[in-house]
Amino acid sequence: MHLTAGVGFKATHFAEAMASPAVGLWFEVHAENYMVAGGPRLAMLEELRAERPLSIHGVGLSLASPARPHRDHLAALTRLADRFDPFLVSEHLAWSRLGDRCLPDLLPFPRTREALGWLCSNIAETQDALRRPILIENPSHYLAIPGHAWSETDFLAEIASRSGCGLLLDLNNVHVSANNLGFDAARYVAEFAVDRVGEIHVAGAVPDAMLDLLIDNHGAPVADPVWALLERFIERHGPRPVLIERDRDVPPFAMLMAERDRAARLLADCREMVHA
Amino acid sequence: MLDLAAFQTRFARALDAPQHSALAIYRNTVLLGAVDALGDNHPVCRALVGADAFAELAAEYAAAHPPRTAVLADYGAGFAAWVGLHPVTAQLLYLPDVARCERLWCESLHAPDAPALSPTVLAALDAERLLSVRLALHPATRFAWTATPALPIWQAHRAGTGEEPLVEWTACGALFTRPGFAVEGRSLDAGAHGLLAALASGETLGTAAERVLHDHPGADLSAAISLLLASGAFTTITIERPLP
Repeated sequence: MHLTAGVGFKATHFAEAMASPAVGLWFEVHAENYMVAGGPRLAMLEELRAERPLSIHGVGLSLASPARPHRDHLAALTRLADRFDPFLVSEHLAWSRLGDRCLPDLLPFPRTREALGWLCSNIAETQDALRRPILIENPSHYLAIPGHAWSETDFLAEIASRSGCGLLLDLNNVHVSANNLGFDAARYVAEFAVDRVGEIHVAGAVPDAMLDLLIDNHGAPVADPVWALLERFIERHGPRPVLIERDRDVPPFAMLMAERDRAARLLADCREMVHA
Repeated sequence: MLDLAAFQTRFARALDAPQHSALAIYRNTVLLGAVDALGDNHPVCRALVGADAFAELAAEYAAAHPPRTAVLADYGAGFAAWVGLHPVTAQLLYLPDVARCERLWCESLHAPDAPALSPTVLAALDAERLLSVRLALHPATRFAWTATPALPIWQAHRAGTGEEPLVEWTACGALFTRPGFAVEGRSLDAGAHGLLAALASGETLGTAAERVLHDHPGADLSAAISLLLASGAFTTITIERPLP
């Protein structure tokens, strides 16, 4: 089956997700929401997985910590991947753990040689446990951190070539970070290691009420500049699985599917061009 | 140049204090993650306190007890005990017990899967064997005895009638089971609670029954065991081999 565009799965959409006739539709879930021993969440995911391909997206492994991945967390991720056989497993270029404390966010850090070393060894340990390569996603930025030895695109390319991981290009994060840090989004994408990209995320952001910043809250429809980045990427580099992410103010399934179908059309148009 | 550990320690410390720069975005996200998770895991407490007041309460809790794992379905294990010492409880005496019920509900929801014991299994035993039987709790069974009528209050809010529930002000047992895909909450009287507690501690049905009749002379044992079986509180039985 051709994987085209997918949507982030929400339990409230379960019946419609199961009944959807969309060709090539797939779903992505946050790994941490399913790291439970049993019960209805896992049962629901099992039913969904029987119908559709699944991508597992982790937000809590804290790969940029100067410490090995938390043993229980990695074991739980491995159990999920073994049970649900996802076509993709992804995580972030970020940290979210400090000792025994968890900070539920994707936090920034200076891209130094030390950070590169920790990321590569933590990704390697994760890939060894999962017995498969993972994708690493570019995060949203709100703050210029001093002390970077690499640009983010070069850093991700270096990590990919050293660890053998793929990359998840989140175009909304590029759009948000470009706005917040004042760089050119199209140029960032042009500098990205596109051959390594195994998945693309698009989502909506909202302006902060106090600060002149865009917040990547996954709480709005995909914005026009992000659609433009996606269209351009697909034109230049060919199709990739594209995910519509939505985590706040989740609209009816049909509205998410309208965005998903728009992405699916871009991918189909590109395939036609290639085969024409 | 700070090393990675020193940078992250300093960054995390900065997020613990109110910020006016872009750090505020990170601080809000970190806090909101914990506040939302606590609210999702305690929807009735949030309704009882009100969404805004609950968010303040949750932020206070999150500052004192930040998440220790990224699995937020598990967050708030200590909330009931913590809120019991909080001044908000002066106006809402039953809040800590409702929080305790919601915690048990969460634990039941995510507990391992197992078949529930069919009531016919006990019905098939003769009287002597019936008394020597031990019943293993289903992994999703949780129960408590509360000094306030927390379970009926919880039930009324879950039903969502929007009306103030008419609840008799009395101590009460609470039972949560997951016989199918949904968690069910039930009130337990003192006899049924005593029977379940004795069985959970590994006593035989006979010994547990004697204990309940001693502690609660008027207890309706047959109603209690029927209710526990019907709720799916057990998963398997073991019968002790009689001595040769």
